[in-house]
Amino acid sequence: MFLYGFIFILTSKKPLSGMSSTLNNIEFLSPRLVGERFSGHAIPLEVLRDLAVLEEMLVETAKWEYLHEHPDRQRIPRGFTNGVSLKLTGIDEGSAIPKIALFFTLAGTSLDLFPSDNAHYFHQAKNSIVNAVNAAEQNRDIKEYLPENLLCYFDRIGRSLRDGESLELNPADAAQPARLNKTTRRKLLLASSNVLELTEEITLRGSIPAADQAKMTFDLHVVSGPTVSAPISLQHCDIVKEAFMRYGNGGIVMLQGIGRFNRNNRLQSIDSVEHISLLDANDVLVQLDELRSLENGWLDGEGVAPDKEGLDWLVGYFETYYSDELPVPCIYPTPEGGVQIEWTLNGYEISLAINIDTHQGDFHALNMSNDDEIIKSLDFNKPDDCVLLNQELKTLWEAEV
Amino acid sequence: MNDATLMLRQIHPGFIKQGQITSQAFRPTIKDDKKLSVYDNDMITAEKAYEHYTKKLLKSSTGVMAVSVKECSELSLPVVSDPAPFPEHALIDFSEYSYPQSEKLAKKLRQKAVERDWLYVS
Repeated sequence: MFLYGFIFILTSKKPLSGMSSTLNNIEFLSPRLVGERFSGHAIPLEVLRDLAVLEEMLVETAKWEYLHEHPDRQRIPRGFTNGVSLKLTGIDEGSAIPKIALFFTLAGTSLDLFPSDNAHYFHQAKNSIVNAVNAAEQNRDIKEYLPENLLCYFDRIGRSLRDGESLELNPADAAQPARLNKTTRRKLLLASSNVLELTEEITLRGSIPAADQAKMTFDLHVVSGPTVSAPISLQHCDIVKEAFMRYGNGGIVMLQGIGRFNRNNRLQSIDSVEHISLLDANDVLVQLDELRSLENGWLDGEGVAPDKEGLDWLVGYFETYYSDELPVPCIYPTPEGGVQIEWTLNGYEISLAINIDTHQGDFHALNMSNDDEIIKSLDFNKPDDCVLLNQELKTLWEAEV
Repeated sequence: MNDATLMLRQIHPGFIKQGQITSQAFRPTIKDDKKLSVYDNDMITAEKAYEHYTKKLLKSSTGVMAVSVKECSELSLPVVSDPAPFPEHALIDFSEYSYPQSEKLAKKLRQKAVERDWLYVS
Protein backbone atom coordinates (compact mmCIF):
# COMPACT_ATOMS: atom_id res chain seq x y z
CA MET A 1 0.00 0.00 0.00
CA PHE A 2 1.45 3.37 -0.97
CA LEU A 3 0.34 6.69 0.39
CA TYR A 4 0.69 10.32 -0.46
CA GLY A 5 0.23 13.07 2.08
CA PHE A 6 -1.06 16.54 1.34
CA ILE A 7 -1.38 19.63 3.45
CA PHE A 8 -3.98 22.23 2.73
CA ILE A 9 -3.06 25.48 4.41
CA LEU A 10 -5.46 28.33 4.88
CA THR A 11 -3.68 31.56 3.93
CA SER A 12 -5.22 34.93 4.34
CA LYS A 13 -4.18 38.44 3.45
CA LYS A 14 -5.26 40.37 6.49
CA PRO A 15 -5.88 44.07 5.87
CA LEU A 16 -3.71 46.30 8.06
CA SER A 17 -5.16 49.58 6.86
CA GLY A 18 -7.09 50.46 3.76
CA MET A 19 -6.20 48.02 0.97
CA SER A 20 -2.83 46.80 2.33
CA SER A 21 -2.60 43.26 3.58
CA THR A 22 -0.29 40.55 4.97
CA LEU A 23 -0.27 36.85 4.21
CA ASN A 24 -1.40 34.32 6.81
CA ASN A 25 -1.33 30.55 6.43
CA ILE A 26 -3.60 28.21 8.31
CA GLU A 27 -3.25 24.47 7.99
CA PHE A 28 -6.48 23.40 6.47
CA LEU A 29 -6.73 19.84 5.18
CA SER A 30 -4.32 16.92 4.86
CA PRO A 31 -5.76 14.31 2.55
CA ARG A 32 -3.73 11.43 1.20
CA LEU A 33 -3.83 9.26 -1.87
CA VAL A 34 -3.77 5.50 -1.42
CA GLY A 35 -2.91 3.08 -4.19
CA GLU A 36 -0.20 1.39 -6.19
CA ARG A 37 -0.10 4.19 -8.78
CA PHE A 38 1.11 6.68 -6.18
CA SER A 39 4.19 4.69 -5.25
CA GLY A 40 6.65 6.47 -7.53
CA HIS A 41 7.13 9.68 -5.52
CA ALA A 42 5.01 11.48 -8.07
CA ILE A 43 1.35 12.28 -8.42
CA PRO A 44 -0.26 11.81 -11.83
CA LEU A 45 -1.34 15.17 -13.23
CA GLU A 46 -4.83 13.83 -13.84
CA VAL A 47 -5.22 13.40 -10.07
CA LEU A 48 -4.16 16.97 -9.49
CA ARG A 49 -6.94 17.97 -11.87
CA ASP A 50 -9.41 16.31 -9.50
CA LEU A 51 -7.96 18.21 -6.56
CA ALA A 52 -8.30 21.49 -8.44
CA VAL A 53 -12.06 20.97 -8.51
CA LEU A 54 -11.99 20.65 -4.73
CA GLU A 55 -11.26 24.36 -4.58
CA GLU A 56 -14.43 25.14 -6.51
CA MET A 57 -16.43 22.85 -4.28
CA LEU A 58 -15.00 24.30 -1.06
CA VAL A 59 -15.82 27.84 -2.14
CA GLU A 60 -19.38 26.95 -3.08
CA THR A 61 -19.86 24.89 0.06
CA ALA A 62 -18.54 27.74 2.22
CA LYS A 63 -21.07 30.07 0.59
CA TRP A 64 -23.80 27.54 1.31
CA GLU A 65 -22.63 27.30 4.93
CA TYR A 66 -22.79 31.07 5.28
CA LEU A 67 -26.33 31.32 3.92
CA HIS A 68 -27.33 28.33 6.02
CA GLU A 69 -26.11 30.15 9.11
CA HIS A 70 -27.72 33.43 8.06
CA PRO A 71 -31.17 32.50 6.76
CA ASP A 72 -32.11 36.19 6.80
CA ARG A 73 -29.45 36.98 4.19
CA GLN A 74 -30.31 36.77 0.51
CA ARG A 75 -26.74 36.72 -0.69
CA ILE A 76 -23.24 36.30 0.64
CA PRO A 77 -21.20 39.40 1.55
CA ARG A 78 -19.13 41.08 -1.14
CA GLY A 79 -15.55 39.85 -1.13
CA PHE A 80 -16.43 36.61 0.59
CA THR A 81 -14.59 34.52 -2.00
CA ASN A 82 -12.24 37.07 -3.52
CA GLY A 83 -8.75 35.73 -3.88
CA VAL A 84 -9.61 32.34 -2.53
CA SER A 85 -7.55 29.58 -4.01
CA LEU A 86 -5.93 26.29 -3.20
CA LYS A 87 -2.35 25.97 -4.24
CA LEU A 88 0.01 23.09 -4.60
CA THR A 89 3.34 24.22 -3.21
CA GLY A 90 5.68 21.26 -3.33
CA ILE A 91 6.62 17.87 -2.04
CA ASP A 92 7.97 17.33 1.44
CA GLU A 93 11.46 15.93 1.27
CA GLY A 94 13.12 13.44 3.53
CA SER A 95 10.09 11.29 3.94
CA ALA A 96 9.44 7.77 2.78
CA ILE A 97 5.94 9.01 2.12
CA PRO A 98 6.25 12.10 -0.04
CA LYS A 99 4.17 14.99 1.08
CA ILE A 100 2.72 17.63 -1.14
CA ALA A 101 1.60 20.87 0.37
CA LEU A 102 -1.40 22.63 -1.01
CA PHE A 103 -1.95 26.24 -0.01
CA PHE A 104 -5.36 27.67 0.40
CA THR A 105 -5.00 31.42 -0.05
CA LEU A 106 -7.57 33.96 0.92
CA ALA A 107 -7.25 37.64 0.04
CA GLY A 108 -10.19 39.34 1.64
CA THR A 109 -10.90 42.96 0.87
CA SER A 110 -14.34 43.28 2.28
CA LEU A 111 -14.73 45.66 5.17
CA ASP A 112 -17.82 43.79 6.27
CA LEU A 113 -16.31 40.35 6.55
CA PHE A 114 -12.63 39.93 7.26
CA PRO A 115 -10.81 36.88 5.94
CA SER A 116 -10.42 35.43 9.44
CA ASP A 117 -14.21 35.37 9.67
CA ASN A 118 -14.45 33.74 6.26
CA ALA A 119 -12.15 30.99 7.41
CA HIS A 120 -14.85 29.76 9.76
CA TYR A 121 -17.13 28.96 6.83
CA PHE A 122 -14.39 27.27 4.88
CA HIS A 123 -13.66 25.04 7.86
CA GLN A 124 -17.34 24.23 8.10
CA ALA A 125 -17.37 23.48 4.38
CA LYS A 126 -14.45 21.11 4.79
CA ASN A 127 -16.21 19.30 7.63
CA SER A 128 -19.42 18.97 5.63
CA ILE A 129 -17.57 17.45 2.70
CA VAL A 130 -15.67 15.07 4.98
CA ASN A 131 -18.88 14.08 6.75
CA ALA A 132 -20.69 13.50 3.45
CA VAL A 133 -17.96 11.18 2.21
CA ASN A 134 -17.98 9.31 5.52
CA ALA A 135 -21.76 9.00 5.26
CA ALA A 136 -21.37 7.52 1.77
CA GLU A 137 -18.91 4.95 3.03
CA GLN A 138 -21.12 4.05 5.98
CA ASN A 139 -24.35 4.01 3.96
CA ARG A 140 -25.83 6.88 5.99
CA ASP A 141 -27.84 9.82 4.68
CA ILE A 142 -25.44 11.90 2.62
CA LYS A 143 -27.85 14.82 2.22
CA GLU A 144 -27.72 15.41 5.97
CA TYR A 145 -24.35 17.06 5.29
CA LEU A 146 -24.50 18.50 1.79
CA PRO A 147 -27.29 19.73 -0.47
CA GLU A 148 -27.97 17.96 -3.76
CA ASN A 149 -26.53 20.68 -5.98
CA LEU A 150 -23.15 20.55 -4.25
CA LEU A 151 -22.94 16.77 -4.57
CA CYS A 152 -22.67 17.30 -8.33
CA TYR A 153 -19.04 18.37 -7.77
CA PHE A 154 -18.12 14.75 -7.14
CA ASP A 155 -18.62 14.19 -10.86
CA ARG A 156 -15.20 15.77 -11.29
CA ILE A 157 -13.61 15.08 -7.90
CA GLY A 158 -12.24 11.56 -7.70
CA ARG A 159 -13.00 10.81 -11.35
CA SER A 160 -9.40 9.85 -12.03
CA LEU A 161 -9.31 7.30 -9.20
CA ARG A 162 -9.02 3.73 -10.42
CA ASP A 163 -10.06 0.44 -8.88
CA GLY A 164 -8.27 -0.04 -5.57
CA GLU A 165 -7.34 3.63 -5.22
CA SER A 166 -8.76 6.15 -2.79
CA LEU A 167 -8.40 9.73 -1.65
CA GLU A 168 -8.72 9.97 2.13
CA LEU A 169 -9.85 13.46 3.00
CA ASN A 170 -9.35 12.98 6.75
CA PRO A 171 -6.70 10.27 7.21
CA ALA A 172 -5.97 11.40 10.77
CA ASP A 173 -9.21 9.72 11.82
CA ALA A 174 -8.51 6.04 11.19
CA ALA A 175 -12.11 5.08 11.92
CA GLN A 176 -13.62 7.66 9.56
CA PRO A 177 -10.98 8.75 7.03
CA ALA A 178 -13.60 10.00 4.54
CA ARG A 179 -12.45 7.61 1.86
CA LEU A 180 -13.35 8.78 -1.63
CA ASN A 181 -13.08 5.92 -4.10
CA LYS A 182 -15.05 4.68 -7.09
CA THR A 183 -17.80 3.26 -4.89
CA THR A 184 -18.27 6.20 -2.52
CA ARG A 185 -18.01 8.70 -5.38
CA ARG A 186 -20.83 6.93 -7.18
CA LYS A 187 -22.96 6.90 -4.01
CA LEU A 188 -22.35 10.62 -3.47
CA LEU A 189 -23.43 11.41 -7.02
CA LEU A 190 -26.47 9.15 -7.05
CA ALA A 191 -27.62 10.68 -3.76
CA SER A 192 -28.43 13.80 -5.76
CA SER A 193 -31.57 13.68 -7.86
CA ASN A 194 -29.98 16.49 -9.90
CA VAL A 195 -27.47 14.00 -11.24
CA LEU A 196 -28.99 12.31 -14.28
CA GLU A 197 -25.66 11.38 -15.82
CA LEU A 198 -22.20 10.65 -14.45
CA THR A 199 -18.84 10.99 -16.12
CA GLU A 200 -16.01 8.49 -15.86
CA GLU A 201 -12.58 8.13 -17.38
CA ILE A 202 -12.79 5.60 -20.18
CA THR A 203 -10.52 3.53 -22.36
CA LEU A 204 -12.47 2.07 -25.28
CA ARG A 205 -11.68 0.22 -28.45
CA GLY A 206 -13.93 0.41 -31.45
CA SER A 207 -14.49 1.39 -35.07
CA ILE A 208 -15.75 4.64 -36.58
CA PRO A 209 -18.76 4.11 -38.90
CA ALA A 210 -19.65 7.81 -39.18
CA ALA A 211 -18.01 11.21 -38.87
CA ASP A 212 -19.50 14.68 -39.32
CA GLN A 213 -16.95 17.30 -40.31
CA ALA A 214 -19.45 20.12 -40.03
CA LYS A 215 -20.39 19.29 -36.46
CA MET A 216 -16.89 17.95 -35.71
CA THR A 217 -18.25 14.75 -34.18
CA PHE A 218 -17.83 11.07 -34.89
CA ASP A 219 -19.57 7.87 -33.88
CA LEU A 220 -17.56 5.21 -32.08
CA HIS A 221 -18.91 1.69 -32.37
CA VAL A 222 -17.43 0.15 -29.24
CA VAL A 223 -16.24 -3.45 -29.64
CA SER A 224 -18.92 -5.57 -27.96
CA GLY A 225 -20.68 -2.38 -26.90
CA PRO A 226 -22.90 0.52 -28.00
CA THR A 227 -22.34 3.18 -30.65
CA VAL A 228 -21.83 6.60 -29.09
CA SER A 229 -21.03 10.08 -30.30
CA ALA A 230 -17.74 11.86 -29.55
CA PRO A 231 -16.25 15.26 -30.38
CA ILE A 232 -13.41 15.55 -32.91
CA SER A 233 -10.50 17.65 -31.74
CA LEU A 234 -8.33 19.19 -34.44
CA GLN A 235 -5.30 17.21 -33.29
CA HIS A 236 -7.22 13.94 -33.70
CA CYS A 237 -8.82 14.75 -37.05
CA ASP A 238 -6.42 12.73 -39.22
CA ILE A 239 -6.72 9.58 -37.12
CA VAL A 240 -10.51 9.82 -37.02
CA LYS A 241 -10.60 10.23 -40.82
CA GLU A 242 -8.29 7.28 -41.38
CA ALA A 243 -10.27 5.03 -39.05
CA PHE A 244 -13.48 6.15 -40.75
CA MET A 245 -12.06 5.32 -44.21
CA ARG A 246 -10.95 1.92 -42.93
CA TYR A 247 -14.28 1.09 -41.30
CA GLY A 248 -14.99 -2.61 -41.76
CA ASN A 249 -11.43 -3.07 -42.95
CA GLY A 250 -9.49 -3.14 -39.72
CA GLY A 251 -9.93 0.51 -38.75
CA ILE A 252 -9.99 -0.06 -35.01
CA VAL A 253 -9.01 2.75 -32.64
CA MET A 254 -8.21 2.91 -28.96
CA LEU A 255 -9.71 5.99 -27.33
CA GLN A 256 -9.02 7.44 -23.90
CA GLY A 257 -11.17 10.23 -22.56
CA ILE A 258 -14.21 11.06 -20.49
CA GLY A 259 -17.41 9.08 -21.00
CA ARG A 260 -20.91 10.08 -19.94
CA PHE A 261 -23.02 7.34 -18.33
CA ASN A 262 -26.64 7.26 -17.22
CA ARG A 263 -27.61 6.31 -13.66
CA ASN A 264 -27.76 2.66 -14.77
CA ASN A 265 -24.10 2.86 -15.76
CA ARG A 266 -24.76 2.66 -19.50
CA LEU A 267 -22.46 4.69 -21.72
CA GLN A 268 -24.42 7.51 -23.41
CA SER A 269 -21.75 9.59 -25.12
CA ILE A 270 -18.13 10.67 -24.99
CA ASP A 271 -17.54 14.12 -23.54
CA SER A 272 -13.92 14.50 -24.50
CA VAL A 273 -11.15 12.59 -26.18
CA GLU A 274 -7.67 12.88 -24.71
CA HIS A 275 -5.90 10.26 -26.80
CA ILE A 276 -6.86 8.26 -29.85
CA SER A 277 -4.71 5.88 -31.87
CA LEU A 278 -5.17 3.28 -34.59
CA LEU A 279 -4.74 -0.33 -33.56
CA ASP A 280 -3.84 -3.43 -35.51
CA ALA A 281 -7.00 -5.23 -36.56
CA ASN A 282 -5.92 -8.27 -34.56
CA ASP A 283 -4.75 -6.29 -31.54
CA VAL A 284 -4.82 -8.47 -28.45
CA LEU A 285 -6.98 -6.05 -26.48
CA VAL A 286 -9.49 -5.81 -29.34
CA GLN A 287 -9.71 -9.59 -29.48
CA LEU A 288 -10.29 -9.74 -25.72
CA ASP A 289 -12.97 -7.04 -25.99
CA GLU A 290 -14.74 -9.15 -28.60
CA LEU A 291 -15.05 -11.97 -26.07
CA ARG A 292 -17.03 -9.66 -23.78
CA SER A 293 -20.06 -9.93 -26.03
CA LEU A 294 -20.33 -13.71 -25.57
CA GLU A 295 -23.25 -14.97 -23.53
CA ASN A 296 -23.76 -18.28 -21.82
CA GLY A 297 -24.70 -20.85 -24.45
CA TRP A 298 -22.53 -19.21 -27.15
CA LEU A 299 -21.47 -22.68 -28.41
CA ASP A 300 -24.82 -23.92 -29.73
CA GLY A 301 -26.41 -23.88 -26.30
CA GLU A 302 -23.25 -24.99 -24.53
CA GLY A 303 -20.32 -22.72 -23.71
CA VAL A 304 -19.85 -20.56 -20.65
CA ALA A 305 -19.32 -16.83 -21.26
CA PRO A 306 -15.92 -15.60 -20.05
CA ASP A 307 -16.16 -13.69 -16.79
CA LYS A 308 -15.76 -9.91 -17.27
CA GLU A 309 -13.40 -9.54 -14.32
CA GLY A 310 -11.33 -12.40 -15.65
CA LEU A 311 -11.07 -10.66 -19.01
CA ASP A 312 -10.07 -7.43 -17.24
CA TRP A 313 -7.31 -9.37 -15.53
CA LEU A 314 -6.11 -10.80 -18.84
CA VAL A 315 -6.12 -7.32 -20.43
CA GLY A 316 -3.97 -6.14 -17.50
CA TYR A 317 -1.66 -9.12 -17.96
CA PHE A 318 -1.08 -8.35 -21.64
CA GLU A 319 -0.62 -4.63 -20.99
CA THR A 320 1.90 -5.28 -18.21
CA TYR A 321 3.83 -8.33 -19.27
CA TYR A 322 3.42 -9.32 -22.90
CA SER A 323 6.38 -8.22 -24.98
CA ASP A 324 5.60 -5.94 -27.92
CA GLU A 325 8.37 -7.70 -29.83
CA LEU A 326 6.47 -10.98 -29.88
CA PRO A 327 3.87 -11.68 -32.56
CA VAL A 328 0.20 -11.02 -31.92
CA PRO A 329 -1.59 -14.28 -31.07
CA CYS A 330 -5.13 -15.36 -31.91
CA ILE A 331 -7.45 -15.48 -28.92
CA TYR A 332 -10.45 -17.80 -28.69
CA PRO A 333 -13.04 -18.54 -26.04
CA THR A 334 -13.14 -22.02 -24.54
CA PRO A 335 -16.42 -23.85 -23.84
CA GLU A 336 -15.55 -23.84 -20.11
CA GLY A 337 -15.49 -20.02 -19.86
CA GLY A 338 -11.74 -19.69 -20.27
CA VAL A 339 -9.57 -18.37 -23.06
CA GLN A 340 -7.23 -20.18 -25.44
CA ILE A 341 -4.39 -18.17 -26.93
CA GLU A 342 -2.55 -19.56 -29.95
CA TRP A 343 0.62 -18.73 -31.86
CA THR A 344 2.19 -20.23 -34.97
CA LEU A 345 5.88 -19.62 -34.47
CA ASN A 346 8.81 -20.97 -36.38
CA GLY A 347 7.27 -24.35 -37.10
CA TYR A 348 5.67 -24.65 -33.67
CA GLU A 349 1.96 -24.67 -32.99
CA ILE A 350 1.61 -23.15 -29.54
CA SER A 351 -1.45 -22.91 -27.34
CA LEU A 352 -2.06 -21.53 -23.89
CA ALA A 353 -5.35 -22.47 -22.26
CA ILE A 354 -6.04 -20.04 -19.42
CA ASN A 355 -8.50 -20.30 -16.58
CA ILE A 356 -9.22 -16.58 -16.22
CA ASP A 357 -10.81 -17.07 -12.80
CA THR A 358 -7.82 -18.79 -11.16
CA HIS A 359 -5.17 -17.25 -13.48
CA GLN A 360 -3.68 -20.69 -14.20
CA GLY A 361 -2.61 -21.74 -17.67
CA ASP A 362 -1.63 -24.88 -19.60
CA PHE A 363 1.11 -24.15 -22.11
CA HIS A 364 1.57 -26.57 -24.99
CA ALA A 365 4.01 -26.18 -27.88
CA LEU A 366 4.24 -28.77 -30.63
CA ASN A 367 6.98 -28.90 -33.22
CA MET A 368 4.98 -29.87 -36.28
CA SER A 369 8.02 -31.39 -37.99
CA ASN A 370 9.33 -33.75 -35.35
CA ASP A 371 6.48 -33.82 -32.80
CA ASP A 372 8.67 -32.50 -29.99
CA GLU A 373 6.47 -31.07 -27.27
CA ILE A 374 6.88 -28.52 -24.50
CA ILE A 375 4.22 -28.81 -21.82
CA LYS A 376 4.10 -26.46 -18.83
CA SER A 377 1.64 -25.36 -16.20
CA LEU A 378 1.83 -21.63 -15.55
CA ASP A 379 0.54 -19.80 -12.49
CA PHE A 380 0.04 -16.17 -13.48
CA ASN A 381 -0.41 -15.22 -9.84
CA LYS A 382 3.37 -15.60 -9.65
CA PRO A 383 5.39 -12.81 -11.32
CA ASP A 384 8.06 -15.33 -12.40
CA ASP A 385 5.50 -17.29 -14.42
CA CYS A 386 4.17 -14.08 -15.98
CA VAL A 387 7.64 -13.39 -17.37
CA LEU A 388 8.18 -17.05 -18.23
CA LEU A 389 5.61 -16.97 -21.02
CA ASN A 390 7.59 -14.27 -22.84
CA GLN A 391 10.79 -16.28 -22.38
CA GLU A 392 9.26 -19.49 -23.72
CA LEU A 393 7.83 -17.75 -26.76
CA LYS A 394 11.07 -15.89 -27.45
CA THR A 395 13.05 -19.13 -27.24
CA LEU A 396 10.73 -20.87 -29.67
CA TRP A 397 10.72 -17.89 -31.99
CA GLU A 398 14.49 -17.88 -32.19
CA ALA A 399 14.84 -21.67 -32.28
CA GLU A 400 16.35 -23.31 -35.33
CA VAL A 401 13.88 -25.79 -36.77
CA MET B 1 -16.06 -46.18 -44.69
CA ASN B 2 -12.44 -46.86 -45.69
CA ASP B 3 -9.03 -45.21 -45.23
CA ALA B 4 -9.78 -42.64 -47.89
CA THR B 5 -13.13 -41.65 -46.45
CA LEU B 6 -13.25 -38.06 -45.28
CA MET B 7 -14.73 -37.19 -41.92
CA LEU B 8 -16.48 -33.84 -42.20
CA ARG B 9 -16.12 -31.42 -39.28
CA GLN B 10 -18.30 -28.35 -38.83
CA ILE B 11 -16.31 -25.29 -37.69
CA HIS B 12 -18.06 -23.00 -35.22
CA PRO B 13 -17.61 -19.25 -36.00
CA GLY B 14 -16.30 -18.67 -32.46
CA PHE B 15 -13.38 -20.94 -33.29
CA ILE B 16 -12.09 -18.75 -36.13
CA LYS B 17 -10.00 -15.57 -35.70
CA GLN B 18 -8.37 -13.69 -38.55
CA GLY B 19 -8.95 -16.75 -40.72
CA GLN B 20 -7.11 -19.00 -38.28
CA ILE B 21 -8.88 -21.97 -36.73
CA THR B 22 -8.25 -22.95 -33.13
CA SER B 23 -7.12 -26.47 -32.35
CA GLN B 24 -10.21 -26.67 -30.13
CA ALA B 25 -12.26 -27.20 -33.30
CA PHE B 26 -10.56 -30.59 -33.69
CA ARG B 27 -10.84 -32.01 -30.21
CA PRO B 28 -13.92 -32.95 -28.21
CA THR B 29 -15.18 -30.70 -25.45
CA ILE B 30 -16.06 -31.99 -21.97
CA LYS B 31 -19.70 -32.56 -22.97
CA ASP B 32 -18.63 -34.68 -25.94
CA ASP B 33 -17.49 -37.55 -23.74
CA LYS B 34 -14.07 -37.47 -25.43
CA LYS B 35 -15.56 -38.22 -28.86
CA LEU B 36 -15.47 -35.71 -31.73
CA SER B 37 -18.64 -35.60 -33.84
CA VAL B 38 -18.19 -35.70 -37.62
CA TYR B 39 -20.16 -36.54 -40.77
CA ASP B 40 -19.20 -39.51 -42.97
CA ASN B 41 -18.43 -38.07 -46.40
CA ASP B 42 -19.19 -41.44 -48.04
CA MET B 43 -22.80 -40.85 -47.02
CA ILE B 44 -23.24 -37.10 -47.31
CA THR B 45 -21.57 -34.23 -49.15
CA ALA B 46 -19.96 -31.34 -47.33
CA GLU B 47 -22.68 -28.96 -48.51
CA LYS B 48 -25.50 -31.28 -47.44
CA ALA B 49 -23.78 -31.88 -44.11
CA TYR B 50 -23.62 -28.12 -43.58
CA GLU B 51 -27.31 -27.73 -44.40
CA HIS B 52 -28.24 -30.59 -42.07
CA TYR B 53 -26.14 -29.13 -39.26
CA THR B 54 -27.36 -25.56 -39.57
CA LYS B 55 -30.96 -26.03 -40.74
CA LYS B 56 -32.04 -29.29 -39.14
CA LEU B 57 -29.90 -29.37 -36.01
CA LEU B 58 -30.01 -25.55 -35.85
CA LYS B 59 -26.36 -25.24 -34.90
CA SER B 60 -23.78 -22.64 -36.00
CA SER B 61 -21.11 -23.35 -38.57
CA THR B 62 -18.90 -21.23 -40.78
CA GLY B 63 -18.15 -24.16 -43.04
CA VAL B 64 -16.85 -27.69 -43.34
CA MET B 65 -13.30 -29.05 -43.08
CA ALA B 66 -12.23 -32.67 -43.18
CA VAL B 67 -9.68 -35.29 -42.14
CA SER B 68 -9.43 -38.76 -43.60
CA VAL B 69 -9.87 -42.01 -41.74
CA LYS B 70 -6.26 -42.84 -42.59
CA GLU B 71 -5.00 -39.59 -41.07
CA CYS B 72 -6.89 -40.40 -37.89
CA SER B 73 -5.56 -43.97 -37.85
CA GLU B 74 -1.99 -42.72 -38.21
CA LEU B 75 -2.55 -40.74 -35.05
CA SER B 76 -4.05 -43.81 -33.31
CA LEU B 77 -7.48 -42.19 -33.28
CA PRO B 78 -10.25 -44.73 -33.95
CA VAL B 79 -13.11 -43.62 -36.20
CA VAL B 80 -16.46 -45.31 -35.71
CA SER B 81 -19.85 -44.95 -37.26
CA ASP B 82 -22.49 -43.72 -34.81
CA PRO B 83 -25.83 -43.64 -36.61
CA ALA B 84 -27.91 -43.11 -33.46
CA PRO B 85 -28.41 -39.35 -33.84
CA PHE B 86 -28.63 -39.55 -37.66
CA PRO B 87 -27.32 -42.09 -40.24
CA GLU B 88 -24.30 -40.09 -41.45
CA HIS B 89 -22.98 -39.44 -37.95
CA ALA B 90 -19.55 -40.75 -36.93
CA LEU B 91 -17.13 -40.26 -34.04
CA ILE B 92 -13.39 -39.75 -33.76
CA ASP B 93 -12.52 -41.34 -30.45
CA PHE B 94 -10.16 -39.45 -28.10
CA SER B 95 -11.04 -41.64 -25.08
CA GLU B 96 -7.51 -42.90 -24.59
CA TYR B 97 -5.97 -39.47 -24.31
CA SER B 98 -5.57 -36.87 -21.58
CA TYR B 99 -5.50 -33.07 -22.13
CA PRO B 100 -1.99 -32.44 -23.43
CA GLN B 101 -2.17 -35.55 -25.62
CA SER B 102 -5.53 -34.59 -27.10
CA GLU B 103 -4.25 -31.05 -27.72
CA LYS B 104 -1.33 -32.50 -29.70
CA LEU B 105 -3.67 -34.71 -31.71
CA ALA B 106 -6.02 -31.79 -32.36
CA LYS B 107 -3.13 -29.73 -33.73
CA LYS B 108 -2.14 -32.59 -36.02
CA LEU B 109 -5.72 -33.02 -37.27
CA ARG B 110 -6.04 -29.27 -37.83
CA GLN B 111 -2.84 -29.29 -39.87
CA LYS B 112 -4.24 -32.01 -42.15
CA ALA B 113 -7.60 -30.27 -42.48
CA VAL B 114 -6.06 -26.87 -43.24
CA GLU B 115 -3.79 -28.42 -45.88
CA ARG B 116 -6.92 -29.88 -47.48
CA ASP B 117 -8.65 -26.48 -47.19
CA TRP B 118 -12.36 -25.83 -46.70
CA LEU B 119 -14.64 -28.33 -48.42
CA TYR B 120 -17.59 -26.01 -48.03
CA VAL B 121 -17.94 -22.44 -46.81
CA SER B 122 -21.29 -20.77 -46.27
